[in-house]
Amino acid sequence: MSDRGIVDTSAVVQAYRGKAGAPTFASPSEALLAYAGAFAEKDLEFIRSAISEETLLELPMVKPCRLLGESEIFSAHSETFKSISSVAFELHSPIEKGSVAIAEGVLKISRSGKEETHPLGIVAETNNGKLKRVSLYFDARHYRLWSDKTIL
Amino acid sequence: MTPSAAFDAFCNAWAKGDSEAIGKLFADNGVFNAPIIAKPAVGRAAVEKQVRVLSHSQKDVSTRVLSSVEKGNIGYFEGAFEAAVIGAGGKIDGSPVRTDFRFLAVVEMENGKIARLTEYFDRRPLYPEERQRAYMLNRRTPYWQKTVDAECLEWSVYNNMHFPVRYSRMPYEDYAALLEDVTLWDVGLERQTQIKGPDALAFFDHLSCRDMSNMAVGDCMYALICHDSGLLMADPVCFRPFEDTIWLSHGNADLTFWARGIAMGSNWRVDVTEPDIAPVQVQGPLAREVLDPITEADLGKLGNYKCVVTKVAGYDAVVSRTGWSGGFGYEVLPFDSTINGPAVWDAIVEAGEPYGLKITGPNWPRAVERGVTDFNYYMGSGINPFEDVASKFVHLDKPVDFVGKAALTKIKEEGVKRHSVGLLIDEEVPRLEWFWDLQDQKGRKGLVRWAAHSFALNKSAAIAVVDINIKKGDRVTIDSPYGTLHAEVTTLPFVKKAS
Repeated sequence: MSDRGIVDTSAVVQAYRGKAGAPTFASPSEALLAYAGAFAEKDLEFIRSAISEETLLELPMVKPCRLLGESEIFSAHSETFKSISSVAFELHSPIEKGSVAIAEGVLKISRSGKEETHPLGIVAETNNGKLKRVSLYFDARHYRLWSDKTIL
Repeated sequence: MTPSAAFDAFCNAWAKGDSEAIGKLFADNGVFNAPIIAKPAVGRAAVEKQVRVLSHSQKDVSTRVLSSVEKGNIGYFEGAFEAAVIGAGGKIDGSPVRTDFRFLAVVEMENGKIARLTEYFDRRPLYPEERQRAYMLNRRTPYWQKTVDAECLEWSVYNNMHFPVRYSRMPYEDYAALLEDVTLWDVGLERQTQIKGPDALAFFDHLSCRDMSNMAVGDCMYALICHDSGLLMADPVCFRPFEDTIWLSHGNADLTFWARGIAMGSNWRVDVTEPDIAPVQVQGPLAREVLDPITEADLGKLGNYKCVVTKVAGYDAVVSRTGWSGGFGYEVLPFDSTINGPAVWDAIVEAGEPYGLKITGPNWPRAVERGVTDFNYYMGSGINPFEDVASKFVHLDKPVDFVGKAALTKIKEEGVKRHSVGLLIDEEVPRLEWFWDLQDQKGRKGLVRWAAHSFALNKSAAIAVVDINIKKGDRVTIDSPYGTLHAEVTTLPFVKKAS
C-alpha cells in the first residue's frame, strides 16, 4: 500500500458536534470520516443525530448485517459498543465522486483483553448532505466463516 | 492505463478465465489480495496462477460496478460479483451453487500497471452458515480439531468415524492444489486391520484374492478381499512394516471383525486387532518437498508402493509412497496416533506452508478421472471382483486356498455378466448420493456408482458397472434424482497421466 497518510477522524466529527438537528455534511468524505470518528469514540448520540429513517448501514460483521433506519442502526451500535473496550479507525484520505466517498484502512478493536486489527474499506453516500448509506467491507480472511459469535 | 481501465480489463479477463491477460495487467512485483485466498499473491506469476485457479473454479461470471471513485494512481470500485461454481454438484433444489457477493476493490497503479489489487468482501454468504454439527455416535480421528480449525464444513461417516470431506473452498481450488502443489488429508478413519504373528503373511494371503506370498518387509500391495460368496468387501492398500506385521489399510468395512472372526479358533498363529494408527495423506507433486525435511528416512529413496519405519517430526511412524490421489504422494501413519498424531499433523502443516499446502478432503473429481474408486464401489455393494477395473488382481491359480476362491471359480466358469466402464455425461451431475440406474437403447442395465465433474475433461464423468454387452461408444440414459442424464460409454481411466 502506498504511503497516503492517515486522516484524523476525531477532528472531523468534532467539527460537526454541538449543532442543532441532523448534521449536514460538506461532502461525502466528511460524512465518511465523521461516522468513523463517532464510531471510534463510541459516540451514540452523534450517530443517532446523523442517521434518518432512510439511512442504510451495511456492516457484514454484525447480525443482521444490513441495518435500515434510526432504530436498527442505533440499537446495533449500542450493542456493539458494549463489547468493545476501545476502537480506532486508521483511514487513508477518502476519494470521492458526486455523492459517494470511499476510503481504505484498518479498524483496530480492543475487547476482552484482545487486540484485533481488521483491514477494511468504507463507502459513504450522502443525499443533500445527509448520511444516506455507510457500507463497510472487511478482509474476511481475519474472521472465521461460521463463528457462532458476532465479531464486533 | 488508469485504475478504472485496469479494473475493467481485469473483470473482463476474469469472466473469460484469461489469467494470462490478467497477468499482463500487473507489474512484475504486483500484488493480488482477496479474502478468499490464504495469503496475497505477490509477483506476476503468482498472481496469474492464483487468478487462474479462482477464475477456472467459476462460470457465468459477471461483475457490475455500483460506485467508483478515482484519483491519480488509486481507484476504488464497489460492485457486485456473480458466478456459478463449477463442479459443486448443485444445491438440493437443483439450482447451481453460486458465489455472489458485494465487494470493494482497490486498484493501485504504477507505471501503467497494477501494483496492487485488493478486494474486500464477506465470504460467509458463499458457504453454509456454520459447519456441519456432529453427533457423538461416531468416533473422531485424532485430527478432528485440526480439521475444524481448517474450516472443514462437511463430514461423512467412514468406519464409524467422522470423515472430513469438504472445506471452505471451491472444488477446483482443491483440485488444482492436488495437481500443482500439495494437500494434506485427514484419513485417520482409514483404519488398519493389523495381522501380527508368525503366520501373518500366510494368513493375509488366505484372506486375499491376490497372491501376496511375495510381499516383502517394506512392501505395500493393493489387495482385493472377498467374503465366501465371492463378493467384494474391501480393497485395502496393505503395508508390511515389520516381518511379523501386516496392516490392511481398509475402506468402509468391518474388516477387522471379519478377519478376527476367521482367526479365532483356528490354527493361524496371528493376533488380529485395530491398532492406534490413524493415517494422513500428503498428496501432490510437492509432497516430497514438504515431508522430506521432517522425516528421518530419505524419501528420495522410497519407491512407489514401498514403506519405511522412520520418524516424522521426531515421532515414530510408517511413511509409504501410496495414496488415493491417483498421483504422487505419501501416507504418514504415526504410531500411537491418538497421542502423537496431532503433533505430526502440525509439523506437516508448518513444513507445507512455504509450498502452499492446503488441508483438503480426498479429491473425488481426480479419483474419478483416474479410475480410482472406494466405498460403495466395492464394499457390500453386490459386485464381484471380476466386474471391477482391478480384476487382474484376482489370482485363482495362486498356490494356496483363499476366502471366496470356490465362489469366484464358479462365477468365472459361468461367465462374468457385468463389467466396469466410464461414462462421459452430457449434463452437469449433481452430487451422487446413491447409485443411479442406467440403461442403453436395448434395455441393458447398469448402475452409476461414482460421478463427478472432471476438470481435466471439462465435463461430467462417471464410473458404472454395466451389462457385459454394453461397450465403448454405446449411448446410455441415466435416471438421476434431478432428471434423465445422457452419456457415452468409454474406457477407464479417463485420464491416464498421473500428476
